[in-house]
Amino acid sequence: MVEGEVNTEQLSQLSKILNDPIFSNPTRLVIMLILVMRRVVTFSELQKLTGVSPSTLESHLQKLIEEGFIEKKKTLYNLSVRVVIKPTSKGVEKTLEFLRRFRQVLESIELNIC
Amino acid sequence: MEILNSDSIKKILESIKRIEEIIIALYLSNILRLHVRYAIALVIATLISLVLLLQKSLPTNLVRILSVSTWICAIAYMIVSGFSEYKYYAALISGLTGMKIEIKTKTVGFLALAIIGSSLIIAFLTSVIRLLFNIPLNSPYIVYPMAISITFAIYLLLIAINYALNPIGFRSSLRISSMLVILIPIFTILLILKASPIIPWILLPITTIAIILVLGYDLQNRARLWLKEKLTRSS
Repeated sequence: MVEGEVNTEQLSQLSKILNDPIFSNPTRLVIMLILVMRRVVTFSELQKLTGVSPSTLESHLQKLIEEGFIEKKKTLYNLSVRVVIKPTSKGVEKTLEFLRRFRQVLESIELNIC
Repeated sequence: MEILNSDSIKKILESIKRIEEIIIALYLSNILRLHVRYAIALVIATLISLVLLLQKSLPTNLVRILSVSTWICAIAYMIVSGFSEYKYYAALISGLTGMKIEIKTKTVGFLALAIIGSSLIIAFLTSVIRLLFNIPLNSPYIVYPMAISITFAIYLLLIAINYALNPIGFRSSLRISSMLVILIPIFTILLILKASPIIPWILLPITTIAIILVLGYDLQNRARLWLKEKLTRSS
């Protein structure tokens, strides 16, 4: 239940964060978090880690490429030429910014509730 | 809105904090790894130079050219690998703390030019002195100032990169600068004692590696403290 102390401004901030066009989708958020931590992954690795079908993963990746959050590159990976996925500086920054803002809003709500 | 109770918020907050901690830990290990890579590049360049120096059958000029090319390659590798890493770190810090960090490419370029320029002036003055006093090129009076000039150029280039690209590198850069002061008497003593020309080639990599590793650890510690402070303040 939402307690009485949680003000409308906090709720609107939370709603704004949760309705982010990119990160409102949990799969995309997971993809970005994996990429921020691993720096470089292959398509099959990412598919294993996220547990989604190749077509679904491809559509999410396309969306992230369009936003300039990730890039696909053909490179030498584990002694063979593979297509790898890397986060861009913008992608890294926006993902962590999303986490930080989400944390800050939740912390302010928690303060009001407790 | 049913999820908005104290327990669920606590759980989500814990998860976010855990993710942030993992990212910071990865970031710190990457800084250290970068400096280890710097040290490896310098060791390889030094070893190649040393091997070339010991090849008596090779023409002196060829040895010099190959040696200088090796150092240029090592420095270029360090700049290129460092630049992409620092761009990534800047994005990480911006995202984690909300601070806007600009990669000061122009500053780096200007500092690098100034350093290389001053190093060239030292090399030029040494050559003038050599011609005026008719000192042979392999004389310690020429070899050591040249070695000092090149060493300074390498160190200062690293300081410039750390200072201009890394938001936490300022104090570390100053610390490195002060460490450089220790190097000057070492080279001066060697110059006065007319020590064997092989000694600076042994001392150079040891001091370089030591400084780079110290810088790596120093940066790591400073980064941890700085990020901890920033994250506490932002929350």
